[in-house]
Parts: sequence; C-alpha cells; structure tokens
Amino acid sequence: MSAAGPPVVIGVGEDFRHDDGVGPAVVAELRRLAALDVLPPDTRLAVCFGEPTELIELWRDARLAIVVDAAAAEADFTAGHVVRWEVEDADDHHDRPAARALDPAPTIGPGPAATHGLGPGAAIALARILDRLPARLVLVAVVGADFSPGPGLSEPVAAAVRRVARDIARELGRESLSALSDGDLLSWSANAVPPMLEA
Amino acid sequence: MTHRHERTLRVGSLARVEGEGAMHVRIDQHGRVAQARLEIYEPPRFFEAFLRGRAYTEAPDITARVCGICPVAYQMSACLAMEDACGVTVGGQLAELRRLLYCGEWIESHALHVHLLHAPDFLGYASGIDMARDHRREVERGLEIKKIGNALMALVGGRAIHPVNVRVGGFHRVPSRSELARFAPELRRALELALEAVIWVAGFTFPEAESKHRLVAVEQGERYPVDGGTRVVTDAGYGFCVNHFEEYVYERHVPHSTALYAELADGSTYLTGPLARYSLHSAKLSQHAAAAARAAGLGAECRNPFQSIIVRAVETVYAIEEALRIIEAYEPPERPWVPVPPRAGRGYGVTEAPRGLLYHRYDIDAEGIITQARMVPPTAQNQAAIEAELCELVEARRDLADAELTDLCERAIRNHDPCISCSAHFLDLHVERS
Repeated sequence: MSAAGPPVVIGVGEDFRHDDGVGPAVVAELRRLAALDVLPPDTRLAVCFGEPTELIELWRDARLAIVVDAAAAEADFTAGHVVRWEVEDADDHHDRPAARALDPAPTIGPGPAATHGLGPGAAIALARILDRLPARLVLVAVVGADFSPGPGLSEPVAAAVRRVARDIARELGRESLSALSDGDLLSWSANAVPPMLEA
Repeated sequence: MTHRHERTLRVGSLARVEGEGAMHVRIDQHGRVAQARLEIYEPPRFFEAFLRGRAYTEAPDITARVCGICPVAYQMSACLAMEDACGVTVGGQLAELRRLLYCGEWIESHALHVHLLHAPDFLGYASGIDMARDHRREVERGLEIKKIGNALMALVGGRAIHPVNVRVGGFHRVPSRSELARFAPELRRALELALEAVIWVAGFTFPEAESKHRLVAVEQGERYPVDGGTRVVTDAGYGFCVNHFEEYVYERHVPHSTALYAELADGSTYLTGPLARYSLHSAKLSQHAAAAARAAGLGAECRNPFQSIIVRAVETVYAIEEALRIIEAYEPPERPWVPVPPRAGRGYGVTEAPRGLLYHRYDIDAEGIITQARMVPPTAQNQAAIEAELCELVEARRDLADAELTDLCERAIRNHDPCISCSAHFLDLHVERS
C-alpha cells in the first residue's frame, strides 16, 4: 500500500432504491461542502453502482479512500446507525459484529444488491491480489430500512447523511493536514476546522 | 447418483451474474428432469409503472436506472421509441455518437463478463478473485479493457454509470473532434488487448452443447446490430417490423418468477444475445473482429452456449473497431440534438443490449405525458430457453454427482450473462433426486 494520490470519497449505491442511495447522498453533501471550500482541495468525490472493478479503479493510487455504502439492518443496529472500519480489518470482517452490518443491502427478494454478487469485500480481496488497494481504505456503512425501488431516503437514514458527511470532512481534513508541508499548512489552516460543519 | 431415484438441485443465489436469482432442478424417479426453474425477481416492472404520468423527455434518464450494467441500452431504446412516437428520426453524426456510446457499454460489459465472471468456469475457479491469483495478467487485461469502455461512456455520456448526457433527440452536449481524437490511442490499445482475449478464450475446453432454440436479433441494415433497427429477424427465415414485436413475441407470467416469460407466437422458445447476433449477422463483422472469429475457430454460426465467451470476446473487438471508425469519421453536428416536439401516439424502440434485444414501447399524449410503457429485457426473453437448456443438460448428464451437476448448471446459466437486475444474481442450486 504505497499509493500517494489524492484522497477519494466514493458513494456506492443506487438512488432509485430508497436507502441504497445513502452513499450518493453523502457525496452530494460533500460536494456542497467542497463548494464552500471546506474540503481539502485535492479531494476527489465519486459515486458508483458498487461494481467491484469500478471501485478498484476509483480507489487505486489514493492515499486515502473512504467508501460510503448502505448496509442491511441487523438486529444489533437500527436504521441510520453508522458503522466505520478500516480495511486492515477486512480479512476477518465476517467475524466482527460491526462489520457484518456491511453485508450488501438486499434488493427485492433474497441476496445482495451489489452487481454480480460482489460487494466491497470482493473488491477489497481482488484489489489486494492485484496490488490496487489505496494506502488507507475506510469503509463507512449506514444501516438502511427501505431498499425497495423508488427515490428518497427514509427519515433516519436521511438524518444520518449530514452527520456522516461532516465526519468524513473532518477525517479528510486530518489526513490532508498530515500530508501537507509547513507552507501548505499555513495557507490551508484557515479552513481546516470549518465552522459551518458545526451548524 | 444412480442409486437414488429422485434428486433436487437447488442454488439459492447464483454467483457471477447480475441481479437476483436462484435455480431449482428436480429429477423424478425415472431419471427425467421434472422441473427446471430459473427463479427471478425483476424490478423493471415497477419502472413501467413509474413512467406513467412522466414526461416523454424523462424516459431515458428514468429507464437508465433499471440497470447499472446496461444503462445505455435502456436510454437508447427509450429515445428511439419516443422519437418514433413523435415522428422524428435522428440520423447523421448524432446517430453515430449514440452508436459510439453504445460501443462503450458493450466493451465494458463484455470485458467484465469474459474476464472476471465467465472465464473462471473454464479454468476451474470459484470466482474471478480466485482466478486472479494465478491469472493476474489476464484479469488485469480485462480490467484495462473495461476501464477504456467506461472512459468512452464517460466521454460521450457524461459518466459511465447512468449517463447523464443523453436526451430524446440526441445529447445535451456533443464532444469536439479533438476530444474524441485524443481517445483513439486508448481504443487502439484496447483493440490489441481484446484480440489477445479472443485467442485466450478460444483455447478453453468447451462442453458439447447445441442450442436448439430459435435465435432472434435486431437487424440494423448492413451493420452488425448494436444501437437500433427497425426490424427484428429470426433464424427461422422470417422477420418483423419492430412495431409488430408484440404480435410475434408473447409474454406470460409464471409463478416462480417476477420476470415475464417470453416466447414466439408459434410457441417456440428463443434466445437473444451474442449467439443470436453472431449467428444471424456474423457476415457484418468488421475486419479484425471477423479475422478474430475465424482464428478462434468460429464458423458463420455459433450455437454452443458455452462458446458464447468467444462470441463476446469477438464482439468486444468489433465494438472497439467500430468506436475507432466512428471517431475517425466524426464531424461534430451543428446542434447536439434535434427538436422532438410531442404528439399523441405510440412509439417503439429496439436495440441490442450486451445481453440481447431490448424492446421498449410507449404511448404518450399530445402534451408528451407517458400513458403506457412496456419494456421487454433480454434476460426475460432468454429465461424459458435457459430453463430448457438446463433440462437438456441435466438429462444428458444425470449420472453426475450433485456437486458436478450443480456446477454445470450454474455454468449453463452464466453462458447467457443473465442480467437479473433487469429481469435475476446468485444461484442457489438444489437437485432433488429420489
């Protein structure tokens, strides 16, 4: 994991499947923040359908990649609950209660909604074999309630969007600060702790 | 096993296909296949309801959301149908740009299926990930071709998934000549890789099989069919205009599937997709694609579903060559779209999605509001033929152990690259034997 390219936030999901659209919704909120200059300027924002090869292409070479996806609710979690973990944990993620929530969101009927039956776990496994993992990979899952066809997020998931975006902005800020030289640090520090994020 | 009289093969979630599906095969006490079901849960029916009451101009963007793998197919069939309803034909460079965008979708979809979803079946791996450990070069090649296809879609369509640049009448913005010309070296690189892929897959070992189903594909003049056509042709020697599609193709509900079963009016099952396109139109392939097909040992027709991987690889070559041809001849149109004023009427559109023929039909009122919508996706059309192939496959090899038979059945389904999001994803195969 020696990638050193710009950080990327990837919103995974289909916004025509209600809560499956939370990833794109978080990215939309981050775009709003980027327009306010509160994100590190080299941050890349992307949305995708979750197809593993596309995920790999989006995150390869990034020094930090944050993937936001919807998750099927388990008994331990209610809609809007947010789970975060780093890829170092991915090998054993199925044994971890928090990570199990990141099983792909269901479509109509049984099984995952991710294309070709491959979710972020498969993308991570393939990227690891091909040496295409970013330097740091953070997965953020928002537990959803409604994955039926149609636009709009459920109330608890919609309420989580701004909070998740704010946390990601802070994480990007911390990462960016650690990557900046002293001179860059001075020029960027004015926006490093954006007050509007607290609103 | 032979000492058992009845078996059930069941795969609850199909691997390496797009969407949600399961398979159930029951072998009766006489060793015959009593039932073979490909169980599908299909969202597009909801989309038809969503479309009613929406403006005719919204159909390309709404229908693109049916599928993340083949959104261009939905957009193009929708555009053609709306333009047909309004009495407008989009030609010239705008039509060429549509074909170029569609080539991007073929390239990325076929590259993914050939290299990561289908090839593991022939090399003895459970998944593309397992295969990547031993065949890294080939997997990387697939990813590179796919990336170029995605980039082409983004260049013309605004983005690779659910393109945003398509509109009824053309595009919101058309690329400059230099924008497309800059992409040509990428395509030339993809062409080399795609030709390598044809030779690679041609070296696989293929089970003996021959599809006895009718073959159905769009006819697009002297061109290999991709982005449209006014006629549909069959291997039975007849064809029909797209506006008679529903007189020649019947759909019916079956209890185990949310997809509708399609069959021809004479009751015969049929296949649409690469085997049909190739067998009906192989003479229209481009220079390198035709040469690659010959080098891979294909004749004028290909009816072995397992060899569909070769046909997809050949079609990838074709789509890249076609993209290069369009880019070389490209002159930006004066306007990015032609006006399509609404009028009350009915319109039809057919195109060739990577998996096969995609039919759209809309009724709109004088203000352009959609009053009726119908979409017939390729996997729904292929479902009955796939089930029949499963029956034949199991009956011919019923002495195989359950695990082998299950594996073979899953392969038989993946031969057709089913898009279950459009019509079923994972196969959980259960064989019942008693």
